[in-house]
Amino acid sequence: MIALETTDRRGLADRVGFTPQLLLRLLLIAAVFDWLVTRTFTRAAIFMPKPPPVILLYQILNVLGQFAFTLTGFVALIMLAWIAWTHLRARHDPLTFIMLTSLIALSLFFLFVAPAGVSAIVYQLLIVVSLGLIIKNSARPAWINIAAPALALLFATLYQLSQQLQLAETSLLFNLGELFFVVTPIVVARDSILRRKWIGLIAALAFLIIHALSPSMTGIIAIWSIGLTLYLPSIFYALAIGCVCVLAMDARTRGGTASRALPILLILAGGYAPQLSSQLFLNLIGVWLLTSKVTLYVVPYPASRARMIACARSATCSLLKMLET
Amino acid sequence: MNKKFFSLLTILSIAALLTFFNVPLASSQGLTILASEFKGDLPANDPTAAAWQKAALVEVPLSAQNVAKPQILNTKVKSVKVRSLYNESQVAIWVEWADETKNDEMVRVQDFRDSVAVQFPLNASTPFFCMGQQGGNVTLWHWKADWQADITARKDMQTLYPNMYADQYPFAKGDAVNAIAPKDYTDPNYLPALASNNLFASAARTTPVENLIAGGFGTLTSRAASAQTVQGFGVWKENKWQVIFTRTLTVKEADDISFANGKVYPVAFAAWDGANGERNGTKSTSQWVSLQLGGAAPSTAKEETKAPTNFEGIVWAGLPMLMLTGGVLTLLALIFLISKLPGKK
Repeated sequence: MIALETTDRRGLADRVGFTPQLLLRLLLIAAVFDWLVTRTFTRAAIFMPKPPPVILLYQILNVLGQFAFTLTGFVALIMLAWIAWTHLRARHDPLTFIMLTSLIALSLFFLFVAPAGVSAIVYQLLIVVSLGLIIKNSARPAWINIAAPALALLFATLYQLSQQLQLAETSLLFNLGELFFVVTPIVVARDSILRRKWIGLIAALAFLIIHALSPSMTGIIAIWSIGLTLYLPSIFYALAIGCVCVLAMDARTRGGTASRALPILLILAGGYAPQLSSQLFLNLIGVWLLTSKVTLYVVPYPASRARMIACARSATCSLLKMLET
Repeated sequence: MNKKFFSLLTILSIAALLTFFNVPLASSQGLTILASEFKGDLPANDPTAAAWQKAALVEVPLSAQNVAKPQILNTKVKSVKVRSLYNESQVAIWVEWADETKNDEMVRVQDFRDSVAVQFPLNASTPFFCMGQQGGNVTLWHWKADWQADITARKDMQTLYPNMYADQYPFAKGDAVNAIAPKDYTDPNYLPALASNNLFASAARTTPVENLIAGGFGTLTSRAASAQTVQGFGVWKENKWQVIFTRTLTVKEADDISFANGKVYPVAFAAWDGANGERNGTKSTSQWVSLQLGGAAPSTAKEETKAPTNFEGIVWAGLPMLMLTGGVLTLLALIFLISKLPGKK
């Protein structure tokens, strides 16, 4: 059984082989690759000596990064469309469906006509309303996990909206959003941090040392990689990086912690105050995953489970026979 | 399992094709300055002209340059307001920012000028927003308040210290005490900076804008005098600077930027408040934002404006997208039909 709250378990998506889990895992892999390789590692090249083999390596990584970036954008669009469809069919929530599809349509429209004036304002308002509707229809009561990333996305959007409306003193909104974005992994990893304290500690210390040795390089990479300006005391960012590593370890498990860790990784891959619609969609999908009961892992159907047990038994018998002979 | 594999393959193939056609399916969330088309001569020397109201206003946030030393972290210019117009031959960028003091003298060592710069990358990709990087050159248009003032009346030590006394000016004609202007020298070769066309020593300025090129920190270089083709005009009024940059859409230099209708260009801004001791790298900078010539009609337009003209992109981006969408739909339909074949579970 797929751990979905939708009633459309064997619907069109299943018939064509698109399970949400497949899409989400693909999205996660592509988005994290785009984040860590394209937006972080390859951009850090300006600080590295570049003999010809290294240049070749970076060229290869750039091509792969472009592919990961495009794949992220494409799968994020499909995923958001699927979320919109789920809201319409399973939750009887046409308003969220309309908002999300409008968001998708407008982002595609902006491929041809740059966002400006009224259209840009409408787009930002759509993001705010969609975020509000996703949280309003939350199937999970874990507000503490949802609040920080949702507020970070909200303030980042309000910041961009205030720019479009030409309001004064918009940096407060940006800084507030950055604060919530940094707090997000700390809040979500709170249960696991003691269990994996050494990983978190090593990562946090590594950040503090690198930051102390080269604040300018750390600042540049932070802006390029994830959109953070590092205006807060560096201990906050160190703690957050430690928690991100803890969450990355949690993401490898299949327990309840993974259901929190994976959406947070998706949000981090999108970055703070995203510059591109695909990165914004990662943030929205991440928040939606935190508020829904969808997991990234497929739990086998009972019949499938029986088949798997039979296969395992058969394989064990074969192995035993081989050993006997 | 086969269907899942096939679906995965389809998605990856579509993504590969989109990558090949350079259709990333991601639109900009950031700021875009839409340059409006203008019929006739651009108002290059009138920042208050009504024509500027036809162009959409975009406020670009700035923050202190905090990467290279020396740094002033509490820089004064927090944002610049930008508009842009273009006609069949020129593009103009209007920039306004708040500044309580007018600093347009650079005669004394303790004086620093107000100024503003516009930066464009010279490669297809966007390099580091502060001066570019190795392999990612940028071109900069740097308007300087003192250069603007020099056009009206050149200031020198005697302007500020009229009672100053100098023993002698060798090689100068006439009264040695007063003859200190470049024109008073018998041979300009005795003024090597002037003789070598150093823009800073220029006796008569033709533009308040310096056109520069850079490829990383410490590489900022002024272009040759023949390439100083960016014109500018700036006025300080009611605690605000309003500056206009004007240049031809295309230039013959291969390592300079040319503009085409409908294309989007990354652009970054920097501003200096001389009263705060800001100069060189101690400045406020923006991240890359976008400048597009042509596009949607601006929301602040008071007069009739030309309809969007940037649909050239549809040929290159829209058609592959439509083809791919059609392909995907066909594939999905085929999979759906195959799943309905008799004998399939």
